[in-house]
Amino acid sequence: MKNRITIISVALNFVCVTAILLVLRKPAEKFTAQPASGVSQTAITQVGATVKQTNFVSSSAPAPFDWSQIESDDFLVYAENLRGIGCPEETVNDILTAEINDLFVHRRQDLFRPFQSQFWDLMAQHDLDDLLPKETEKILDALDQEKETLLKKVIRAPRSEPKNSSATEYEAVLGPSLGSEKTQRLRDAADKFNKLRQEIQSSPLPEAEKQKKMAALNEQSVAAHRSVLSPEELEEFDLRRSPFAQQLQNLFGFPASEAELRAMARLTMNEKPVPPDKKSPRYETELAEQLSQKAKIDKQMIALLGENRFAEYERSKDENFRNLNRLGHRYDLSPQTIVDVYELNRSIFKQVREFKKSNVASEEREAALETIRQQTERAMIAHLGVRAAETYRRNFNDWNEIPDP
Amino acid sequence: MKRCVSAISIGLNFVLIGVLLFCLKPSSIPVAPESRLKIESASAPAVVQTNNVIDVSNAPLPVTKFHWHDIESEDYPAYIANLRAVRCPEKTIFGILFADIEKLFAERKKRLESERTFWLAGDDFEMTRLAREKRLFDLLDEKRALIKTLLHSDLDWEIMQSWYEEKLLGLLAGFVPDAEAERALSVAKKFVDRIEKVDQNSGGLLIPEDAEEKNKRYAEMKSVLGLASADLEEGELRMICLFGNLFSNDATKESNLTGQELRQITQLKQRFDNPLEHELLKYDGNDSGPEELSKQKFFEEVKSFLGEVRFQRFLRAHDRGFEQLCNLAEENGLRPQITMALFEVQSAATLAALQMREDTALPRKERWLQLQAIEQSTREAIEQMLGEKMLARYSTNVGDWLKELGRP
Repeated sequence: MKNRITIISVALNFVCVTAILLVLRKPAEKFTAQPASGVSQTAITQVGATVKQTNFVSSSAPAPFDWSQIESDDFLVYAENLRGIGCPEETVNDILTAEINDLFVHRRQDLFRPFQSQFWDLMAQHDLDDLLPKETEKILDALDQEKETLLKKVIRAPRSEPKNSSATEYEAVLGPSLGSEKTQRLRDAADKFNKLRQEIQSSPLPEAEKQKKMAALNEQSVAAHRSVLSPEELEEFDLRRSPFAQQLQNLFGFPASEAELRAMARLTMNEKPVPPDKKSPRYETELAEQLSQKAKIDKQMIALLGENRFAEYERSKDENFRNLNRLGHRYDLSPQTIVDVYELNRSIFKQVREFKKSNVASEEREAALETIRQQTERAMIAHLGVRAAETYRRNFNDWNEIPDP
Repeated sequence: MKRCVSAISIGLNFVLIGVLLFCLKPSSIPVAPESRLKIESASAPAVVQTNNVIDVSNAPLPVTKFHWHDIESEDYPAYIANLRAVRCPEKTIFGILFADIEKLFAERKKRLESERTFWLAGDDFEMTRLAREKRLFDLLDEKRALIKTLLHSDLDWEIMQSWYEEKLLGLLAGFVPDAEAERALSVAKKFVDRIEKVDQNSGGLLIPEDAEEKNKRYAEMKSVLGLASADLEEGELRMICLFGNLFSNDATKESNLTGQELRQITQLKQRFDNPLEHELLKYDGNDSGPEELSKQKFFEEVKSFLGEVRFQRFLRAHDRGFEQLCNLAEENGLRPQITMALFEVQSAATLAALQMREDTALPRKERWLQLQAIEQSTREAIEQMLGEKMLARYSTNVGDWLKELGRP
């Protein structure tokens, strides 16, 4: 009995010693990367084995970390090893994307290499989107597919924009003042309605029915988007989308404060456009209404800006004044020079128009117009300088047209 | 004695079981590498200097305590030094830093672009636009300089993304080794950006000085692309073939051009009607005269190179006006010779009118009378070929250029 106890005890000692030795050896596996789903066991074992060996060497004096301990030809293993040392997901993404892009671009270029000597023949005989033989195109497509699949497997962080990427008009108009939460809600709504639009488009409905549904959907979409915005944001959006606000950047020579510009946008918000169809039976009535409304708006504008600044505003809408301002910006002309040249042009054109109306004989008329043209040219050069005057002539061609033979 | 051995053995049992239990206590039970490494990293000895540069000479990092935090640094040179210290391959260092710098600058660019003030009228708007454009270009220059300093590279992120994705770009630039193509395309992008800067600063009104500046940039670009002159020539020809729409389409197939012929035609295009130079030299928006002249010169050269019959096919493939003329001729049963004769009359008359307009030595009225005469004689010549009825049809469908002839 005693012998049996001793034997059991000695055996237990042996088991304990073996167990202790095994436990003491276990820390060497610390660097073995955690296998990711789908990672081949062989690959992991290989990395584990390498690290194990290194750590054994370093058990007495720890060796410095070396990149070769995590680098692997297997991208999945490489990614897992990087994650294993706490490399941020974004950096894992950068490292692996660069490696994969590099690898695949070289493989693609290797495929192109034999065709380089035939480049001009290909360009001469094939369409641009059909330059290479079908078999090569197939290999290229497979290569693309392989790269895409690999990136999807290896990269965890999103490689491009977030999933809702339908940037909205509201975002474009109101900018970052909207905040990220509202921006996202707007994008979600845009995505939802874009999907519904696609569904209608691809449905077998008759065209008229599709258009009807599409119109209703558009109304719903506007309402859904607008419901995201506060009343102040909505007002700002509508103001910024108004015809007045759209031409703000062209209003040269009219310095105005933000408050004034907003007030002007509000005043013109519902301004009717000039009726387009002169043949319409309602043309005269509509034109009269439009002119009467414009007169009222002008009055309010004068009250807001004063007579002189209202005149400046009206002038800033003239295309010739805009062109002169563009020229002024290029040649550092003073605002006064621009105004002087503009006034000069106006008076000349007035003179030409009156002259054309008069009953002067053709030859006399041509001679007089030629004189006006030459005088204008000299005056323009005197005001603008030779270079700016030449640029003006070449680009806007105004006084060249004066003789109009 | 036996009792003694048994007692020692049993005593040893307790000791060994104790040691085993100690070894198996929770702190040494393996956990997920990341969380473990973080814990260990927190208590790691201070081997990292204040600027986070690893001091490899003093105390090597124990492998088991290594964490990415130990090498990552917001100071790029320190980050690079740390990566090199752990023998990270240069290619990988480039990949990490190139992407990181891009993200950093993309964020700065986004911030800059969002600094727009909406309620600004013309002059204020233009002033802030120009200032913003300048800051954006400065930012781009700063990014390029940083990449050059840190990574000794000219590579451009945007170009590299196109290089990875665009097969046509790969084929076009594939006549040089990959690294050379990547560099040349990136350097070209830098100069294209500078050329665009001239356009943006112009506010839509280009002046001769702009054309001069753009041309200077283009010449500078060619000199620093780092390509052998034969490669440079090949690269430019390929671009001209693409931008000049000389490549094959359904109609070109009929002219049966060989690759060598297409290359020679592209060389003619490069010499007489270079689309890249048009883009650079154009500064007067209304005047299409110089471009029209060079196009005519190019066609003349192609005609003498290909011969009349093949030229006609080539022309049909590459000149929309001539194609429309051919269609009209076919619909009305006109002979191909008539089509070509009409085209020649059109070319000669357009050329004569252009030269007349450029002749500033002539008094304006005289010039106008001459232009009217060109228009009249051209009209008569075409009427003679087509007859009155067909001339009317011709004028309505493809004869807009006739009215333009007499324009002062």
